This record gives sequence, structure tokens and C-alpha cells, in this order.
Amino acid sequence: MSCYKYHFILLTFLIFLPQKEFVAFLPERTIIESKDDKLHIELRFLVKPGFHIQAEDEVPDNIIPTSINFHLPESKHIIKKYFVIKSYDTVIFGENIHKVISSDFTVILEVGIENTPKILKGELSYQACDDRQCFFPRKLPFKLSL
Amino acid sequence: MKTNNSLRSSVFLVSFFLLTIFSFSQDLLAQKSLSGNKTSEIDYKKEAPDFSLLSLDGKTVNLTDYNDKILVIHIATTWCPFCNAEAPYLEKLYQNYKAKGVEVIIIDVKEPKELVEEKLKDRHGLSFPILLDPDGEVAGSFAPKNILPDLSRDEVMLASNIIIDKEGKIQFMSLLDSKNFDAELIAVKKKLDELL
Repeated sequence: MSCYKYHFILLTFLIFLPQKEFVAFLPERTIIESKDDKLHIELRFLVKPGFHIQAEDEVPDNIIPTSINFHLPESKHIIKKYFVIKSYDTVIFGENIHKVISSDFTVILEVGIENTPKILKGELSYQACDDRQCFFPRKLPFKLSL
Repeated sequence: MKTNNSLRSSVFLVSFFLLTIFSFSQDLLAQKSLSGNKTSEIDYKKEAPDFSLLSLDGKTVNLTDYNDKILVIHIATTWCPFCNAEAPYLEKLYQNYKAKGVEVIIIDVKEPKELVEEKLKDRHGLSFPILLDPDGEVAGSFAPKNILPDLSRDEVMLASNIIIDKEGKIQFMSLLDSKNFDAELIAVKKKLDELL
């Protein structure tokens, strides 16, 4: 192998170093239930201790809300998707109080049974901060066998 | 020839191994240094790194343009919640201190001009220069080594405020401290009053 190839491998390794994530997907805590003609899926996520991410709605202008996106074939469609947040934390920005998520939360998804893909892929988009720093927005990809 | 190849392989593997170890050790060392620093103001007096960046109106701005001024630098992005909270107070500070020879700039990190114009300048009615740091290199050059270990290697210390005196020395640097968030820039104003 030429010297250039070694350098190429090294460069590739550096470029694709895994980014630090502040939210974890908990596949073992996923709940999948069949109700009538729908598949009810509960996806669980955990914000790592010491960090918070922006709420999924009612965030001030300019702030990036947490959102979730599913990669489904064109023929499949989502009936319903929403976040269930047990409790929000608050951060005080001068005169404004702003809600953030700093513990576990659930995303509920309803898909028609005939529309159910075998593998559910998606990504959670979020922007995290802790007491000392804010981090660039990132996407947490996840995958689940249904 | 064969010996050369195996020598190259060995050198590559050793470099790779050392680099990996180095990446992790940086985190460990940094964690240690952070635990010793719980205040938002850093004792970090040194020569300010020179820079040359384009402003929103297309002018090249250098640190040396502010040689006879006291300069307040705020490091921001449009989506940074704390930067947005501080922005109106930065404008107030600029209006109150510009007659005393204080200039204010924002260094916006890794964002397109149009977005910064809309979400920072227009939204907050900012009248001081906003400079674009497309790769974050300039903002990163101000960061004290190892002080924020969680930041990835391509991230910077957002919401930090830096005061550079007329001699080009950093006289004040604050890191975000959301538990004691100083949106109204009380600490910055206090330091400016001391310097004036």
C-alpha cells in the first residue's frame, strides 16, 4: 500500500470521527402496539445528565426547536407524531423564561398497519447546551426493526 | 523495497495509535482543567490574536483597525439562545459607550451572510459591525486551551464576551454561565468602567 493510501485512510478517520451526542436513543424501551388498524410506536430518548436541549415547540424566535424526522418510503405515511415531555426545565434569559428538555422524553408515532415499514429509520434534530456552553445543532440518527 | 513498505506501515500504525491516544488524553486533561475553573470570568490576560474578517457590508475588518479603541467582542450564532438574549443589551452598551472610545463587534460563527443579516442584525436592530467567521477559526483562536472540553474540535465558545484594550491585550473574557446568566452585561460594563 502506498504512503498516500495510508494518509487517505488517516484523513478519512479524522473527518468521520463520531460527533459527541447529548441525547441517546433507547431502543430497549421502545413500545410497539397494534391498535385497530394502526401501529402505535413509542420511541424513548434520554437527554444526558447535565445537558439540556431546546423544547419541541413554543421556543423563542431564532431558537432551533427539537424535531424528529422519519425516513419512510413514499407509499408509507405517518398518521400522527407528537412529543410527550413529562416535565420541562427552565432557563432564564434575562427577563425571559425559556423551556428546555433535560431528562427523558417520548415521541409517539402512529402508522397505518398496511403502511408499516419493516425498519423504521429517522433522525432527531436538536441543539444542546449545558451550564457553560452551547453546542452546534446536530442530528441523532436511529433505526428500529418493527 | 519490502523493508521500506513495512517501515511505512509501522510508522503509519504508530502515528495512528498516538493520534488516537492524544485525542482521548486531551479530553481527560481538559476535564481536569475545567474542574478548577468555576467562574465565568477567565483570568486570561494575553495578546489578542490578530484577525481579518469580512463584515456584513463586505468590508474587511482587522483587529488593528481598533488600535486606539477599547473593543468588546461577542461570539455568536443566530440560534444560540444566550447570544440572542444578550444582543439587545450589546446594542445598548454600544450606544452608551461609543462616545467613550469603546467599539463593539459580533463575530458570527459558521453561518451565511443572509441569515445573520436577518436573524441577528435586523431582528435586534444592531448598529455595530457583525463579522462573519465562516469556519470558526478566528472565534476558536480566542479560546483558552482545554477550558471547554465538551466542545468538539470544530466548535467555539459561544456567548463569550471579550474586552481588548488599546494595546491589543485581552483584559476580560467571560464564558457562558447559564446558572448566573448576565444578559445585561453587568460584568462587561464594570470592566469597561475600570478601563476607561
